[in-house]
Amino acid sequence: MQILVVDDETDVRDLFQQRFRREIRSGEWTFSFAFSGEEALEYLRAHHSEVLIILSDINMPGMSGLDLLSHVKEEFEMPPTTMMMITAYGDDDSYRKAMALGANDFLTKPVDFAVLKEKLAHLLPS
Amino acid sequence: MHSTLVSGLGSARWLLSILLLLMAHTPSPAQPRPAAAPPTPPQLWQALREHPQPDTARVRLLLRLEEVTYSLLPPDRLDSLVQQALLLSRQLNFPDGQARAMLRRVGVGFRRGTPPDLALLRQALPLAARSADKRISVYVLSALANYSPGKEGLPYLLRARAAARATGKPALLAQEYLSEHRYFNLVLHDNYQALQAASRVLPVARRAGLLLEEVRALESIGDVYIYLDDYEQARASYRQELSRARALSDTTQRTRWVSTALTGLADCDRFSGRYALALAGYERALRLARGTSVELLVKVRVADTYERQHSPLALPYARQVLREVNQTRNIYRAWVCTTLGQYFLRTNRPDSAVYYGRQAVQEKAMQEKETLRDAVLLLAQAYAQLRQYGPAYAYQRRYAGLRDSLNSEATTRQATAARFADDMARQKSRIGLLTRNQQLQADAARRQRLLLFAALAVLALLAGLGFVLWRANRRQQRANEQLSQLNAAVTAQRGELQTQRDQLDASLTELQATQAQLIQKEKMASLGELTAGIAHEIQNPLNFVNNFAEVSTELLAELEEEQAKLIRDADLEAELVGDLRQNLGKISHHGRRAAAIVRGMLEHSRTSTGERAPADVNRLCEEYLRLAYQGLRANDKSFNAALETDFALDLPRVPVVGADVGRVLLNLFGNAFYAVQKRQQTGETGYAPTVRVSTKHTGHQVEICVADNGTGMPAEVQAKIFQPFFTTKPTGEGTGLGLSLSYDIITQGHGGRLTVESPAGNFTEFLISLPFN
Repeated sequence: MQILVVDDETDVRDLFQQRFRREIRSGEWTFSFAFSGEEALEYLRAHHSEVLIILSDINMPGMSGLDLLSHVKEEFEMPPTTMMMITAYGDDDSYRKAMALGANDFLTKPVDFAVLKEKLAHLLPS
Repeated sequence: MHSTLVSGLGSARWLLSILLLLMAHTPSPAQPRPAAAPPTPPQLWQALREHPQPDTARVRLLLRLEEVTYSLLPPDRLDSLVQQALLLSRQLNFPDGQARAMLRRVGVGFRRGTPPDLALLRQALPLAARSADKRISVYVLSALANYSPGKEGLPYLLRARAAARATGKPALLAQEYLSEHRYFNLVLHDNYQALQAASRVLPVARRAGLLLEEVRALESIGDVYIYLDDYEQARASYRQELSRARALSDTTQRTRWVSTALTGLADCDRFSGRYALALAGYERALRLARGTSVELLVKVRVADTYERQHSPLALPYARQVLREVNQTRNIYRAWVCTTLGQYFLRTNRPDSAVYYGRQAVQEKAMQEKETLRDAVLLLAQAYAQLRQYGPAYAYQRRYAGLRDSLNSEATTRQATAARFADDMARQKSRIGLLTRNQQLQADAARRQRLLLFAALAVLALLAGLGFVLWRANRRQQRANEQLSQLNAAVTAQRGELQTQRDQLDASLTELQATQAQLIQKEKMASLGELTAGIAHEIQNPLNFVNNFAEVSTELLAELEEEQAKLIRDADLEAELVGDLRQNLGKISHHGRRAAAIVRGMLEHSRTSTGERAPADVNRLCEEYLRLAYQGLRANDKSFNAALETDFALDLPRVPVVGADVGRVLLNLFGNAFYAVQKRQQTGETGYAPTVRVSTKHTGHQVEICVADNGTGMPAEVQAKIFQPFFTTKPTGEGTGLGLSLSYDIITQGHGGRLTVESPAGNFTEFLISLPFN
């Protein structure tokens, strides 16, 4: 069970690893990290079949989260990848765009990890 | 149908009047006409017999005789008189007589119904010029104007007018205008010009007391209005004509013009369908005109009125008129024949209708298209009744052609009438105004003259006294005057200087205040751009602080849990402690990050203290790059650009006013993002918006280079870019002060340089050089 987290803030890795340390320790979920949209695509090309969920920030320099979303939807049709978008801007415009591009869910910063955990559990068959 | 009768009428009347005109002025100026009644034809015959000598007196007698018998004798006899006069004048080398005789010959031609002899008139022209009587030239030119085809007459017309004016004789000028009226009316069919010409006669005639010309002009004006179907205006003109004609002193003329005016008024009734009134009017005219040239003219109309009325009198009356027409002149023949034809057609005698119709159509003297049209229609209908469809069809086609060409003339009539009425009203008001002005001026002049006389008298008295006083005081005054002039000049100059200084002071203060306001405004504008970026920037570190604090609490709980166990996992405990330490570090790191952002914002908004402090230029660049980027993204979330940084690692700390340099950087980055955004919006494929910032250490300088691959800028923009208030952004988007202030901050505030390069027009590079020693 692989989850790819994409965010330009590197501390996100430490945060996720600690927030989900029990799930990681039990081997239930695996997290990998990419710090830009480009890096995420590269990773996906290398490990495509392993990743089931992508959790991406929208607002990143260079390739944005929405760009990444459309690339993923074009490039990796099968197996269907679940994409959750995260943004600091809780605006309707980003939400509509993300949904139009085929995002599965949409979260607003600051992320409530309890809610996120629940959503992931719901999305992933354990 | 009624226009037929109108035009026939206009032409006929004019012919009469020009012949009378020639007659009235034929006597030589050397032999003024006696005030008594003109000699009768028998008297003239007598005189001619008594004067057989071949001299100029005989020429004059011959011509005079031809004139007075013009409407009485058959054309051949008239011609013989004129020919004698012409031959005799030639022998005598008497140009005046020759020119007059030639003019008269043209008149005889009219009686015959032959076209005017233009060649003869052109021959008469140089002869007339040699005559001492300058009027002859005007008559010849007028005749040439009127009888040349169409617009060929215009040059003659203009010459005639110039010649008439040159003589300075109002009578001649009035006659000339009347002849112009005739030209425009009958030759060019330009009703507007015709009305203009006739109206021009009125002031000339009234000023010079030329009653006859005035009457004739009024008659012409009435005729044109009838032609324009404006019977109200026509009636007004004929009424005036009637009242003026009654004032004519010459009995013959009075009779003639009173009856003509009455005829005109009756015409108005006839065309308005009031036949009884019309007949009564004609009756009044006839009572006066019996035995004169007007008589037939009225009778033709009476015949037409009877026929229109379908009166049983129509046939006998028209027959009678035809007999009279045949006896004297043929000018109304076509008209009477048409009337008769119409009668026979109405009473179902098409054979007779055809007969008279053909008479009308074949009539040589028929000039008017309207008469021709009606005669042709009559023939078409008559042949149709006779079931002779061949000629009926031919005449019908001819009728259609005539009708169409006349209809197109008719459509312009209403417009012409309106235009003329308008012109007249305007002219009248102008004349009224001028008259009032003249009166006022005259009054003023009178008053002024009186005042002047009074003043002169007083002045004369005072002058004597004044002169004595003046001499005594002159010296004193002169000295005083000079002194006071000097004083006044000095005072005035001082006052002026004071005012100028005050004004300069005021405007300087105002300028300084404005400048301060503008700078503050620019700052606040960039602060506004920043706020959104800052909010976003602060949110991320704060999230981290919160998250790491929360997760640390969890870790602590886990650690305590572990410590409470009997068998403790030392590795896990060590890992948890390590994480906790690391988290505390992260919390303080992100806390500091947020604090720095807030501090930067405060620094930016604070008025600069101008104190320099050593600063890390790389950090400054990075910080403001992010702020600028986020600021723009807050406004346009679809915007995206690659941010590239290339920082020199060996940079010394440079003494700068951080807030000021920050503002410069913010401005440069802001412009760079704006430029790439603009280029991105053009929809160029494969375009990757990029903003790049690099630092470099050279000698005693630190260089910051801000580059973008946006729209670039042409040389003329580069030249002005550091000028205050220069902006390429749409109104309201930029203050035009950003780069100008930046320039001042770098050059004046830091002793550095700010330059721009945009070589190929598709990228822009700003270079800041800061000295650090």
